[in-house]
Amino acid sequence: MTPTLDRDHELVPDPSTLMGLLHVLRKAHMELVGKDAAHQRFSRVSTRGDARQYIEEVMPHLMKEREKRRQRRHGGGK
Amino acid sequence: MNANAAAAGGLDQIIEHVFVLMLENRSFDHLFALSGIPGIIAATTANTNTYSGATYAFGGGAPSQMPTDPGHEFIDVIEQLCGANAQFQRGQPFPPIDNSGFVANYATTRTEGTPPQSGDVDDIMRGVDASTQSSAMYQLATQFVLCDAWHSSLPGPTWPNRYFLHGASSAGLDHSPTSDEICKWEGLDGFVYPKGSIFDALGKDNYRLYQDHLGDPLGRIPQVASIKGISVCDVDDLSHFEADLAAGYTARYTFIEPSYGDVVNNTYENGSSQHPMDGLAAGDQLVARVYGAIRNSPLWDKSLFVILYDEHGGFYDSVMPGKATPPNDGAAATLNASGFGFDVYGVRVPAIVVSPWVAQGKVDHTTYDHSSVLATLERLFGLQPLTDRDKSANDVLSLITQTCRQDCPERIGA
Repeated sequence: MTPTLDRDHELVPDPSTLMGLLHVLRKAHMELVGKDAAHQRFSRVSTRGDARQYIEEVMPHLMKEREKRRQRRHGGGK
Repeated sequence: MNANAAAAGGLDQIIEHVFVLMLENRSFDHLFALSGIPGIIAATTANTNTYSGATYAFGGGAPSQMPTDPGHEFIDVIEQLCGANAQFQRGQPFPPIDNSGFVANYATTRTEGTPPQSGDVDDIMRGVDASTQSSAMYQLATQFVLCDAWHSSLPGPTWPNRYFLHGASSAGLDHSPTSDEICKWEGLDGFVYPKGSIFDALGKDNYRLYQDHLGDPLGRIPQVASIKGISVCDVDDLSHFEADLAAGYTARYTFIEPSYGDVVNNTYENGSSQHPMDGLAAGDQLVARVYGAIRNSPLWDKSLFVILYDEHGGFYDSVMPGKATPPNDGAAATLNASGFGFDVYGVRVPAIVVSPWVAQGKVDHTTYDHSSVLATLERLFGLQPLTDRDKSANDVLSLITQTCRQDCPERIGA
């Protein structure tokens, strides 16, 4: 198995599962920060290493929003 | 109303909650042909593929993790089903199917990366021992209904097949979408079905979405959130599932995604999707967790739980897919790279129907595809079909009996 960091310089394959899921994140990010800001951040993703950084940076914000929505759905419960 | 009194009413009195868990990339024969489950239509050693002068018979000993990811794009599946070097010609009928090209394709395709070492090419013809390697799936298959004629909705990869589950169409998509294609539908706020999705049809209050919260955080991005109107933020962590079920759960339909593991490095390791490069164990534990949560919830007596695989992942299967009804939903040709008419099913995949209202250990030979989930929901809950595919699809409601079983195991798995 290739060590994780050794592949960080590789371009994100297109099409690929990774590319598709990055776009899923971008779509959700647009809801939070607007299309322009989300696009600007996404446009800096080129390699697998960039993709990892993007996921690790964006996901916590989405998780916070997910929890907020969950609280709203459940009327503040659970 | 007690469970058996419900049986006197309509099916919607019996089944009030439908749950679907869709895993990744296994063919029926790969997972169940060697299970010893009586009555299944399955591969034997008489089923062979020939490649480069050598003959490869179906058999056991599948590696716990595949050394490379077998191809399963449309062009791959054409070769797998129709023989080495077979191609689909736009405007022409689907080439004759004989399931003879799985080894040839695995040995040569580069759609998922580098092909395997030559000594590994027969891995594609190997099945697992489900009773030991995927014991939760095996137990559910023997305790409930195992479907041995459930096909992926098209001969192609993950994304269009998952879209069929959610909308009885892939809006013409016959391949893994490119960044440019996704950018175009992101201008529309997500993937759009010409006739809407099952989530549109049900309405926000009637469905719930979950994704497994365990495993590599890099793989916890739900594919369903690519659809217009659904956000990553609408998909709950599965950690909440058990508590949610116990607290006034009203959703009629619940869709659950696994985690996909390390998607950044394409190893898929430490996920729960049962991706071929990751192995079966974590996905099997996910199956057991979801079953246990439903089984031990107040909803059990009103539940129907379907476990599916999106597509076969390139693994050999011995059954030739038959003709399918095209969605006929007016999808534009823009996403249809090959000109495929969506008139042939994809390769057979494992499917298990779990409910206290189904018979123990039944093998169901009815032809299904992923739109059968939609047909089931629509006929159960009085919704209109979305496309011609789900309109004509068989549902699983004929498996519902008039007796609520009391012998269903409370826990399964290793």
